Amino acid sequence: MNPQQVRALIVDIIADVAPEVDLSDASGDEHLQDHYGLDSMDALTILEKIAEETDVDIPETDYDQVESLNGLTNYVAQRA
Amino acid sequence: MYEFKMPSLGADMVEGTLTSWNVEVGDAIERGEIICEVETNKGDIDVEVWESGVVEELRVEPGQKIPVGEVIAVLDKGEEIAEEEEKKEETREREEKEKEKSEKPTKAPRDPADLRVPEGVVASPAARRRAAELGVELQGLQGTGLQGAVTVADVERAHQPTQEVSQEVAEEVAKEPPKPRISPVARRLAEREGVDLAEVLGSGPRGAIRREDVEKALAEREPSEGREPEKDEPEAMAAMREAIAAAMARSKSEIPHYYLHETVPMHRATEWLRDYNADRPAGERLLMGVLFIKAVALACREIPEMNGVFEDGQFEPREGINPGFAISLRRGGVIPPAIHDADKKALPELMDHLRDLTRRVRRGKLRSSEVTDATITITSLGERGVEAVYGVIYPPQVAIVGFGKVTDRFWADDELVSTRPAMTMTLSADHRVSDGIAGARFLSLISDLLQRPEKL
Repeated sequence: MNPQQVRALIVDIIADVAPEVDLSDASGDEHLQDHYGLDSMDALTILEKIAEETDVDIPETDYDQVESLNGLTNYVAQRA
Repeated sequence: MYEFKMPSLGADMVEGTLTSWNVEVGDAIERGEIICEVETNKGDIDVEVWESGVVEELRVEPGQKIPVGEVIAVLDKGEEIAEEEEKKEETREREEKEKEKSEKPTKAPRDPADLRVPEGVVASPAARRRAAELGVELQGLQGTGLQGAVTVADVERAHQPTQEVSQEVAEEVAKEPPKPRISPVARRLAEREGVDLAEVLGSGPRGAIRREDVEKALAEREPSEGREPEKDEPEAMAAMREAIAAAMARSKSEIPHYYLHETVPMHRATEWLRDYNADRPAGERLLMGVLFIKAVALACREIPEMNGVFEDGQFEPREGINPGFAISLRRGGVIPPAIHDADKKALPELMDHLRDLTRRVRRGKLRSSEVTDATITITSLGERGVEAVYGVIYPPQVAIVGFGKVTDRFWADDELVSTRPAMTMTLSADHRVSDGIAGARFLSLISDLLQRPEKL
């Protein structure tokens, strides 16, 4: 998957988990939990769905690399 | 025969709108099955039925607003069972009547629907409903009923001057949820013609909106006026805010809270959780909140004064330990659905349960037992960054435990000062039921349990 496809997939997943979150104007560097009000359950659900769709399972030790949409996209794109 | 009534889904609920039936006449249904969906200020609730039988009659149509306690469906339970039930029902009704008779005017509200009745005011259920419909404050009303009880007529008299003073105010009142009842014909006509029913003044019994009222509104409508924009979302938010306001105001005016806090060392729980999650895929990992739920539930077994409800002017401890876990809604508001028998569930099971509850809270798909059965509340606001949260007790419960953020803090052990993860845990509890010493034991138990997470 190229980064554009990964990003589109992640945006879809976030929209599914948290329909209220509007990512249309996002620069991509916003902290997903702090900026969009996602909680730990949302974050875990998003990671779970990403793993289902891409087979990339992000371990807890790498959570600091996937705090923003850009971080998440890069992380997954490098491995998917 | 079993008459299924509109249930009270929370202390503040006076009526609910039937959204859909999940069953048809002739269907056999089992105890615990979902019979219908009801729209409330907590979102849409899947209502469970606690009797088995065959659906004989569905008395209301989707779209109708129904007061709590009104029969909405009739189940055929088979002859023998039916007779038995009838007897039971009769006994229950008799008991209730006797209880009502012996009740003193100043006694604490018995019915959860009594929420809007301030201390010292006695009002019939019909009067309470009418007061809610008209937005009339019961406090300070001169009752003309038995023992000075406020009647429907009293409420309507109190409402009269408002209408005379200003048409604007009357319109505001008419707009306020909960709205009056609407006949199915009137609703269909209003929907077809795009009439906002909130703007229509009902002339039927108890302010019910009838076809004539909608026709009148149609006739008065400006020719240029079109359909109202969609306003479901803000309305739902306003209703949710109103529900929280009512419950919290009642809590703060009725419940003498006492507050305790304790600093809990969290290195063991944090390390244990890290190790547990390390080699598990995202779908099988646990959140810290699950450890909190289990620890609180186990501590409730030891300190029963924390687990139960305060009703009828007295505390009723509950055997089942069903913590309500506060889940926030992103559009605003918070709902603490009950996790049934949390003390008996293993951590992975609790996690699955919490995952499912969170999803359903946010999509407005809770079950009726989840909004009514909580016996204590847990709030884990720490994950939003606060160091400590002092909760307001959710009536009729008697305690709420708050978990703050886990942060590295200086820690003195003998002569050694180090840093370690720690958290401020708080308790707000009802002083009518327990004293600080019980609360202190409760917190200390939870703290101890969190020191051996592997045993949770």
